[in-house]
Amino acid sequence: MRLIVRFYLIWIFLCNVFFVKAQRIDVFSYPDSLFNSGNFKLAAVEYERIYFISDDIDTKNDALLKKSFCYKQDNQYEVAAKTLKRIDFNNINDSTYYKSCYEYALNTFLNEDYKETILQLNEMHTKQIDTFNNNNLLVLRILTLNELRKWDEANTSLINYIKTNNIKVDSFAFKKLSKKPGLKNEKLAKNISYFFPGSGQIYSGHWGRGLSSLILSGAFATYTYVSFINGFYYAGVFSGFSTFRMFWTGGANYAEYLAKQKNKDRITKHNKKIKDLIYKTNTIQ
Amino acid sequence: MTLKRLCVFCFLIVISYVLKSQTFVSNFHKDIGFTDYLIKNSLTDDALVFLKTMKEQNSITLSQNDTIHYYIANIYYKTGQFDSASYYYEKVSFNSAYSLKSSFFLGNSFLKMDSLSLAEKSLLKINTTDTLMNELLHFQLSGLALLQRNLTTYNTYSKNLTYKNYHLLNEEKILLDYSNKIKNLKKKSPFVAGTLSALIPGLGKVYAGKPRQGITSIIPVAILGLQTFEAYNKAGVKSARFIIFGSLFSVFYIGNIWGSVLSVNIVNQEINNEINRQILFNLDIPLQRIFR
Repeated sequence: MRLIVRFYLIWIFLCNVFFVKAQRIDVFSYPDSLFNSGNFKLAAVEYERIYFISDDIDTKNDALLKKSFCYKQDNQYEVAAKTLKRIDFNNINDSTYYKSCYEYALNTFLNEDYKETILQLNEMHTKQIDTFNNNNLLVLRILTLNELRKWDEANTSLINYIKTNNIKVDSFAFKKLSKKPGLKNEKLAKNISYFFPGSGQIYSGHWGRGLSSLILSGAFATYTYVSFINGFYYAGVFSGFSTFRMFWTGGANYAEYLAKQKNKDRITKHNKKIKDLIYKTNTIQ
Repeated sequence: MTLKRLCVFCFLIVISYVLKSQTFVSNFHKDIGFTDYLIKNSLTDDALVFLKTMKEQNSITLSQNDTIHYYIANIYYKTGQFDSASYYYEKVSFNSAYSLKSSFFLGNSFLKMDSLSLAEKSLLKINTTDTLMNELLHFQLSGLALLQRNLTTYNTYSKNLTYKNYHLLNEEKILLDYSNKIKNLKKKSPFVAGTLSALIPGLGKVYAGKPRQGITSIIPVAILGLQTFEAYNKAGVKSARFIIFGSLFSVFYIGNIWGSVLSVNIVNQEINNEINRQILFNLDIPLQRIFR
């Protein structure tokens, strides 16, 4: 009888021990399976639970890094970056440090916070991580610099990228890539419109809008002149001149806006060319 | 002998079930502890996802379900989503330990959604013998009466307020101030504003308490008036200039009078809204103080 009781007790004990042990080893297996099945929100919570329960700093840091992956997959780049900032960077192993820094830079880039991305890349460089020869970081650097309109630095990085990856680009195509996008001078567009209404719009490539601005300003200027000649001073000042002034300054501001839009288009086109080259020669993991 | 063995076997089976259910209870407590941590660290989205997954588990008991509903409702209440909060507060069952808290917060959620009658219904359902809870209930009901601008009901409920309990003292006094304010509130008349604007354009808006708007609205009327006067003087009544500027002037002049009438109504509404906002804010503070 005693033997039987002992047998059952030992059995229960061993079962418990092995069950608990198995849980410790595979601490990430459940949230990882959730992540792989596409349930990113619940996976994020489970990673947070590991962070909450665990006493081991490496496990805690890994949990936060993996949690940021969930948010990245869920297109919540800002939250992902915020999560990465919670990592304890004073007690971190090298590989997690590199991954976390790269992920932070990537998430800020995806969140269109390009200044933060370049700050992060530069900080990684000062901490002896080679941001110029590492492929992932180099690609991120080129794309960020392009978005920040730092063409010369972007070009140096692009040459570096082409060299390190042994990409064959013929000189004509390379010239096209390294050429700065021809940008319109936004202030000039505004100022020439002050001298000659509509000219800023024409300079930005919008003939129709330029001509209509010219016609409207001209009509009200003429009305002001005619009113003064005939002695209608109040009408000349209030209805004529004030309306003319409205079209005049409004037209100049609009010319600046159009130039900005044009520049945005051209930058997007230029960046797309470089993005295409990177995608074609992509060896990023 | 075999009977004994069978008994031992059955006993061990029963013991293992008891152990299993106990570990489940302790798991639930652990989960709630984790939820507390999430809420404390402002990870409310995570907390919501987690609580809703907990709810989907088949093995949870009724009281555990109530706890989950109360937690979800609290998160929604905290993040200002009062419609969802009221939905989950209503789901907390009557026997639950959270029932009383839920009823109070349910009432306040309805108040915040401006559903005064629903709030009254849910508050009147509360049945308590505790003195503090009773006073809190009367405090909430008197606040509700003020929101309804029903001063006689306010007086009946506020008779039960002691003005002694430190949990409620400050807010009870503030509520009393607001009841006096509502009593002495003088509404501005749209008719006076309209007449004043007819005499001098913009003066109605100054009367309504918006002097800047008054000054800016006189400018276009004056400019058009001057041009009409000029056209009348130099070109005569039948000239196109006079007809165009005259009709424009008339439109602006009448529009200004109409605008003044509207702005008095808007100002009255704004004053009412501000009082309501302050009352709602004051009704919320004791709830947070007592129940959190």
